[in-house]
Amino acid sequence: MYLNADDLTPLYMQVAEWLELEILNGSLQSNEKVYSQYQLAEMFNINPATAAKGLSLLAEQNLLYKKRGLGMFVAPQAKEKIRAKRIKENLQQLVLQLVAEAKRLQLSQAELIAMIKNVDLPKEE
Amino acid sequence: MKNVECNRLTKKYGSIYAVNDLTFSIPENSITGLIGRNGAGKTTLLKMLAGFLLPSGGTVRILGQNPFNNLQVAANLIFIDDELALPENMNLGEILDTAATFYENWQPDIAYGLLDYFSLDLRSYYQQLSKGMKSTFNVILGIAARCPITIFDEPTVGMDAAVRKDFYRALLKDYLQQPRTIILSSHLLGEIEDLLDSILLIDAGKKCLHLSMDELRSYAVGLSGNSKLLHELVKEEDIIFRQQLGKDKIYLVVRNRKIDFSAARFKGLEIGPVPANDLCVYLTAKHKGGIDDVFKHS
Amino acid sequence: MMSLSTVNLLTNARRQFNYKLKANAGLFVSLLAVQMLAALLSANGTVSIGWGTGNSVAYLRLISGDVIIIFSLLWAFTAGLTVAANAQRYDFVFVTNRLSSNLSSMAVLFILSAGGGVSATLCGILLRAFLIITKDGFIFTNISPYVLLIGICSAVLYSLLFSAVGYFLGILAQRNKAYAILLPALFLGLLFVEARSVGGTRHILSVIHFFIRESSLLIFALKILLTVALLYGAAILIASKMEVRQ
Repeated sequence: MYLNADDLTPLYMQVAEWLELEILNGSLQSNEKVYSQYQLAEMFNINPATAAKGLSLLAEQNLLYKKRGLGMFVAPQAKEKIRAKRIKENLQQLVLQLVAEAKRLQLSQAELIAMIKNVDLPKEE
Repeated sequence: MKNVECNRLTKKYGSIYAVNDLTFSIPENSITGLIGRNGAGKTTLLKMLAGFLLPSGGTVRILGQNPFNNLQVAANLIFIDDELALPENMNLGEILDTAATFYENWQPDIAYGLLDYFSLDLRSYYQQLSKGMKSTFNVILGIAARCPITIFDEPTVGMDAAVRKDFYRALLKDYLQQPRTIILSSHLLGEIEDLLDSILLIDAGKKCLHLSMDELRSYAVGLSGNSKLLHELVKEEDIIFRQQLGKDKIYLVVRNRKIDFSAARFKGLEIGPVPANDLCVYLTAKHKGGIDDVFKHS
Repeated sequence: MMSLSTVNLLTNARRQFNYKLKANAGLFVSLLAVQMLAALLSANGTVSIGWGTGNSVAYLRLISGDVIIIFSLLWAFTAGLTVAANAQRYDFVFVTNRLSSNLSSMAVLFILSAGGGVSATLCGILLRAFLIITKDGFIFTNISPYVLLIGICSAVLYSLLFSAVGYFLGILAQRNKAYAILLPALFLGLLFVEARSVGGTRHILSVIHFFIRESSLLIFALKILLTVALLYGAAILIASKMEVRQ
């Protein structure tokens, strides 16, 4: 597995992002042990210190908690917190860009909404 | 503990400084990329770290000791470059067996496993290998020796892309199993940056930067837009790289300090990160405009 | 923290000795070649005198193993040069310091010299045996075991001396490439000057006499070993500040 090398988001943030998605899609459940920095380093072919930084980024946001000697675990309600955070930060930002672009292209609100409704996402497994 | 310490380290050949007043230290269990252009002094620096060359000034400390002519340092350090002088009459298997007698942490399984993986025959002779295969064999020695200080000087010379990728992966996996202090020199940062804790960038024998990879990523930003507006916003001394994009549009790479980003965005300037490799190239370039400067007046 | 390795000087020199014996194995092959060539050259006699009265002609040919010894000593000299050059290249790939490298080189040269000296002496005897079997009309001087032993000892000691001189010069040339040209030129120049100065003091000759005019084997051995020790000591001193893998 490789992280996106062209993406200029710092690697540790890409790691944190990937972990968030794992929690969001249910691959990692509440109170379940998450990957160690070494496992992550091996999975993504990155320096273990970078992977550790990704983990601590999530721990700082109380999405993960540490059990001494055992490693990091998914915090209860982590999924909800991530969802709320991403709506507030990512989605809002995306919508802002979306609306701005629609405005530049002189698209009406109704046309934009119709476009959104017509989007057919491929089914996720 | 600092495993590698250099203080005002200097190496002079005649009147030319190959390494000029370098001061830095590297902590144990980390991977450091030594980056610089050809002739920047990378090899000279590394050979002083390995105790092969005598400094003209300043000090080197490896594991707290002077490495020159030091058996204890030598027992804990391996230096791999692209021209190992190995005996013509010993085959690869015999060389591996010899290496095993010298290094306490030698991993025969990893050595033989890698040799097999890279399709190197135990019975072939080093001098008959192609350039890329020699490099491959060299890095196998470097990995399997598991020395607390492991130095690779341009280890991937002649390797094809697939082998290079495998080598970096092998190095990382072995590092995860047995963390140690690794220094990896290269003139290209792109391939190795994911592996690194930090980068030491040198230019003309002098230290340019010594930063963690994260610090490096936020060290500079790329700005593009109206050249007049941009020049009002940033100070001349902060400009690292300048490229004319259109009649009055310009792309600047600038030091990331005291820049009012919201004001910049407001004025319609585009702000973006700078790839680490590009940044290193810009920082070690003689001209702020790169190769374009040469053709400017013609 | 990764545990650090500690290594003892002699342990490391022993590992290096094993490595370098293998790495310099080619020298044994060249020794064999040199001695065979020398044996071939001396099979027809090293000195040949012929005289005749009337219609009968007599030839006296002296057969000796001297040529073999001389060739072997030249080989020992080049072996010293080779080991010195190889040490700088091969040793510093693996664990070493300058002293450890020199000690292991010395050990390798001891073995090579012993091999060279013993085989040169035995080769001379083999040559005689060959001639007894294949040709008639030879008068042989007997060789007692005691004489043979002395022969072997002195051949080995001479080999030691020649290889040590080669090694010392080899290290000197490593230190500064200019010596590689300067020293042979100096030596030849000295030879030339001495050959012309009939009445004057002859340094080279007196050096040679210092060794070969010694009648006591013990003192001879002492002289050689002391000289060898001095040469190696100087080599170690020169090498200790030397830069490698440049």
